[in-house]
Amino acid sequence: MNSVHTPSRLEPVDQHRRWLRILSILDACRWVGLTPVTTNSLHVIAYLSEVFAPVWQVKLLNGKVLKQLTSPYYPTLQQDVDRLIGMGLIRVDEMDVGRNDDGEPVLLPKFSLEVGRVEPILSALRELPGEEIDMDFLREVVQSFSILSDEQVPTSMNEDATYGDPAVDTGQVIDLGEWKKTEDTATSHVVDRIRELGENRLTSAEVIDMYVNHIAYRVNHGCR
Amino acid sequence: MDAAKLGLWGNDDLTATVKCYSGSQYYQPLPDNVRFVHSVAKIISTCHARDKDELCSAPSLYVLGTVPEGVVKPKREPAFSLGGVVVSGKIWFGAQAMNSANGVAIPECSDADALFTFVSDTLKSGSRPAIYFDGTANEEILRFFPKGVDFPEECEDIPLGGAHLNEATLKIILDRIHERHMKTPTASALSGKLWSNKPKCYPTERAEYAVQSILEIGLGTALGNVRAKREGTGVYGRYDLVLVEQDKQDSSKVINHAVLELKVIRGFTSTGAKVADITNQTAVLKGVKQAFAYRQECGARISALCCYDMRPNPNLHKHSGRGCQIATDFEVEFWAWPLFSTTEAARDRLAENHLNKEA
Repeated sequence: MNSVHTPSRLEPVDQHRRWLRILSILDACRWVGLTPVTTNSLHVIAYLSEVFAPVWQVKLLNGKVLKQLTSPYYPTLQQDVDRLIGMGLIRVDEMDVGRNDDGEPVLLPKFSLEVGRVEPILSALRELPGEEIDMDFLREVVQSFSILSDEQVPTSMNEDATYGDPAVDTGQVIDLGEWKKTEDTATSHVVDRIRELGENRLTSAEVIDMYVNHIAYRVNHGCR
Repeated sequence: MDAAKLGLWGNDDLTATVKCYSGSQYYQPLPDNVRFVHSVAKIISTCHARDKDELCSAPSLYVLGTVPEGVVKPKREPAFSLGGVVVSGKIWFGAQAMNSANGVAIPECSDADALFTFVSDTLKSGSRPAIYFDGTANEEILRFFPKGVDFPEECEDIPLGGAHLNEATLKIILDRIHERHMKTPTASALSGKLWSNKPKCYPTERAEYAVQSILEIGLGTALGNVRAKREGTGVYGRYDLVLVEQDKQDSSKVINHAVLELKVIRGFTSTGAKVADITNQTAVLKGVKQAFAYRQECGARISALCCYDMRPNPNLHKHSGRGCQIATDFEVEFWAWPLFSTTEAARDRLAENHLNKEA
């Protein structure tokens, strides 16, 4: 644990900030052509946007994730999505029934933005200082993520350097920077290694793309 | 690095991941259109190498953006950028990197006009940047519509692959970039950044960097799947730009087509101090040797010293081509272009040239 912990990280992240992040992710999914997006994809993208945040030097929203049997799941994110559906900013396009890690039946909706209602919000957001960088970052994360097929997504994070780290058991919390430094995750070390192999001349988007390509490679072929 | 720090990937070969990377995200800082053109050109080039007959069996169209909601139900192809998808006969929608794309079938018996009408009227995407490839007519050219197929007359033909690149074709491309984007401060958004004081003809301190940026963008569009790669370090120093093509079958291999060494010829420094002629002459001499050495090291076919003359009365371009003996000795192309600090200076030069011709 980091002894010089910054108190602000203990404070709950502003709800509106979380909502804007969700709308931005869904906007990026729309731009890349992924909508309607599954709950699973949304949570995986949210996770990737957390582990890649230091690559783009943007702020973490959560800083931790509960490791589950299959893929990342953020209860708060799900509650936020429900709120945004209620507010008419996200719409449910499709609904399937599936099973969770415990084998219980769950509803599996697919979402997309209510573009007409959200676009003014996102336009205003783009005008705010620093926000466009965050939105560009999310677009690049989603572009890289899009290389995974819908079938690969649910189990893909088991092949991620951090989420799939065998040193962390299912049911434990993976610290992405809430307590320890963001540079101390396996992903950050892999990113450093990729940059080094690229003679420190790679763009941040390139690093993220290579990283996700490596996940895709492992999903298809096992370890490289 | 301690393998345990890499988590699940502790024993993985990340070298192969980096070396075999076939995406195009190195162009992240460039405008969307440039990234889009380069990505599509790379994908088509890979498809061409894998199955030329299939690729050329029917036209395909690529649109930067998303399929409008509720019009048609597209099929998403993840890993589209890897080039393993049958692209012919479809309209592909995607983002700049085209990592994944959504395909919509081209209606049967469509010629280009009918296809463009379909994109415009039915898919409501006629104003989005688009690329048309028709291998049945010409398998070496992409046609890029920067304003979309609604403006078919505003298009640019982009050759596929670096085989077409030679001294003459490269010079034509660089001439066009100079004319459209560099010649005067108003030629493009970036050309204004070449000068710190336009009326006094003072270049910015980082004028060479600005020239490099403009060229990277211009070449990024014009060269299709050939990448304009900036500033690599080698045995003989740092080259400015190298034109690289990734092998279509083996992404870990590249072909270096050309090395471009850039020099800015100054009359003044950014703060107004006079720059002596000998300083510029020394820079040119050094540039020729750099271009020669980098060509030898990269194994490139072409090397060129590209001089951008920012003096109040630029005249170096008169020596362009075979006008520089030392460049000829080293088989380095010597090209120079004038950059004018004001549009008035450019107009004056144009008028002067016209009168001299008449005389």
